Amino acid sequence: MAATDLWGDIGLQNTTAFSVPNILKDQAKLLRQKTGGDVCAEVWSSGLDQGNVIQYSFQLWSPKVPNYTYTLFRVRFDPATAAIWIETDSDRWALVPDFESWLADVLSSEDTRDKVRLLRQSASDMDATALEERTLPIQQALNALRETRLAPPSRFGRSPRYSGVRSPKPE
Amino acid sequence: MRFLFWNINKKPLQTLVADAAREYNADVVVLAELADDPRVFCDLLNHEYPGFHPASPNLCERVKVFFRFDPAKSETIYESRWVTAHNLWLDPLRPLNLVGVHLPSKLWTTLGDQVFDCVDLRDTIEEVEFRALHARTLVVGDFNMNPFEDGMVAARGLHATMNRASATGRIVRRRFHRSFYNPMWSKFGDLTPGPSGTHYWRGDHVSFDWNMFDQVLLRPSLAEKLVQEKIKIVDYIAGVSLHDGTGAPDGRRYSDHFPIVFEVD
Repeated sequence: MAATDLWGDIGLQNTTAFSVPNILKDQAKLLRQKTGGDVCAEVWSSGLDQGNVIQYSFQLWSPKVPNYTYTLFRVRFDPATAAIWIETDSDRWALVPDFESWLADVLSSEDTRDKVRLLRQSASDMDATALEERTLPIQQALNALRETRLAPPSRFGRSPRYSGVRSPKPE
Repeated sequence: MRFLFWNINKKPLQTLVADAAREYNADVVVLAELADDPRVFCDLLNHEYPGFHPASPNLCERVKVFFRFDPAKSETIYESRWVTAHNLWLDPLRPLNLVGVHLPSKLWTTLGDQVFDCVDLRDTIEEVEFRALHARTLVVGDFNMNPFEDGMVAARGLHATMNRASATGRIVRRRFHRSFYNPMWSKFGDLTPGPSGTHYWRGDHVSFDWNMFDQVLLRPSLAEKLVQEKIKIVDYIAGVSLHDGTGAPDGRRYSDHFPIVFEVD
């Protein structure tokens, strides 16, 4: 027997809500396409002011530059009032009336182009051999730290990379 | 490993930076407010004291890092406008995370925003430690905050204590917060051998006059390797006084901040 729908119309069908993270994620996808995957972007969020304000960081990275990210800008969003603050060149946080227009100015600026270009340049400088040479000492250091049981904590919980490391049982 | 940090106030101070690097035998030079292209500055630096190369890709606008050792022994992990973070392994068995910062000025931010910046920075540092696979971390730079301010000492912020023995971390609200040791607490005031702070500003009613905006913070594992007698606020470089007539940093000729130097064994 089919269940009776007790939800009624919850009003999601025609919602075209303005979403800061979705706009940023769309631009991140476009950057990946434009650079042929050499330079990518991702959006990180964190709560501020006891969760009343959400901060989004737009971060650039390249699959060919191991471990590296660059935060291009930060945006703060207050879901209660839909207010959006951006960080200006003089480090002030300012309300922005037209977010998409501001974002277009930032993403198409000479400064952003320079950063994407430099990151792409770093990616092309680093071939597979160099990568291996650079990561070997890290692996050695990691092994040494494992031996001294100084493995760092992670904000994401214990890394799978440490899953095999156990403290010795007491004698 | 010896470090030199200086906010050079957008001045062409490459000769003084090179002299300071030579005088203190610096392996790493971290500069805030460098106006020149870092490659051009590095060439000028190398003209005076050879061997430096800029970190790569060096996208951080407010802090630039120069190493005087094999570039293959460092890896840049994270950068933003205010922060640049590197994993260094001169000795593969004793790697080190170097985080250079120049946080927003008090002129343009509120005290609340400065606390949030420290919370952000703490998250960034933990992310860097996660990626570097070790937590031997030191943070150096112009924090634009004194060591006693909320963002610097709050458990959810940088959690930097004045005492090495108490920098062991603690549980607050059921969450463990790791600590830093901040040796710059011990450099405040006129009973110390050097200047009373790194920055001088006389404000209105409430004014400390001397501020310690330029600081180094160390995780406990590195704090025990800090050579205490080698941490210094520098007010003379190669015999040149960085003071104005009153003993404050001479911002007109040089910088409104004194440099700091320190050594980690």
